[in-house]
Amino acid sequence: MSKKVLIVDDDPDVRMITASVVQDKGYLPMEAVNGEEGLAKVKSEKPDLVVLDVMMPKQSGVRMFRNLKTDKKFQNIPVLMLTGIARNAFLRSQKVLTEFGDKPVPEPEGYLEKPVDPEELGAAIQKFLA
Amino acid sequence: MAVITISRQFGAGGRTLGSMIARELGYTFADSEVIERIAEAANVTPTYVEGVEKEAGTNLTRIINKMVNKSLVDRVLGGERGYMDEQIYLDYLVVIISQMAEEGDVVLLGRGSQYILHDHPEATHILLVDELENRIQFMMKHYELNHKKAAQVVAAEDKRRSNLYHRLGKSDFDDPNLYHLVLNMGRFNLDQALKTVTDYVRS
Repeated sequence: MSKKVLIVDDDPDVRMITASVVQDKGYLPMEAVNGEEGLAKVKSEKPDLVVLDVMMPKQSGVRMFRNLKTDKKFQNIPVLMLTGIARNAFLRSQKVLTEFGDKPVPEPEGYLEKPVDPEELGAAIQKFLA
Repeated sequence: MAVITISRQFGAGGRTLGSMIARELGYTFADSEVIERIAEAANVTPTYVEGVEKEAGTNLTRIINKMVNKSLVDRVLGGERGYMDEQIYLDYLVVIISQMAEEGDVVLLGRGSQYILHDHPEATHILLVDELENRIQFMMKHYELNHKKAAQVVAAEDKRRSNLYHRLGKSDFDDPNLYHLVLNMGRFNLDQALKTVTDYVRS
């Protein structure tokens, strides 16, 4: 059975392009439009990789990432961030949220800043699933 | 790529001085822009964000967050609209302030930016303080308020500031040790403060 890749992004174009890259690599794409829906799909579908945006309505990628990485059942699922937020800014935000009282979380396993070349995205996805 | 954060007791002239510093240095002055970016990300209006920010840290917000669940909001507002509570606001705020600092050459007004960027290598943290009556007078002069209204606004904003920091688990926001410069605006006029800050940043 193909490995599953959950793509969580509010931008339909990004979801479509990422899904196409995932399919080209021989994996099964699934989609969610925000962190809330993404987390529900993690629980129901148990993906092998999550490709996650940061800035999304309702529940951001920040909260979904923190929820995933503090849940013993799901914290080993690798997360590839795919976002317009700079890596340093995201890492700072995670450190600060921990300082403000949240549970500590590790760095995401992968990080790509938009816009990203489809080949680079495909290579990053394959790195986690090969 | 420098970053200046301005924390202030309300009415000490933070918005006015921040705008002057940004103009003098050719930086972006980030006050309403922070709200606008949060609103855009969350797919809500800036007014909605301001409402959440205003109530952040209060008991009222905690009660509403517990009582009103997101599925109810979805049914009332429709699935396409965004939603925001205190936690979502804080998540966005921390990311957006970190991102604006990463973009650089920006003056950030309040909102815990001195904590969020406390160890940012390019950040200069400034605190403006003043006596209560001076702050009331500042609001009367710059915002055309009468004494009673100005006093109410200052008291309400002092409370809001305290609540927001309480939400972040912080109570030392007026501690001089957090800042590079602490300016007593009762002893500096705006032009002197502008020169002090810009000389420091350029040095």
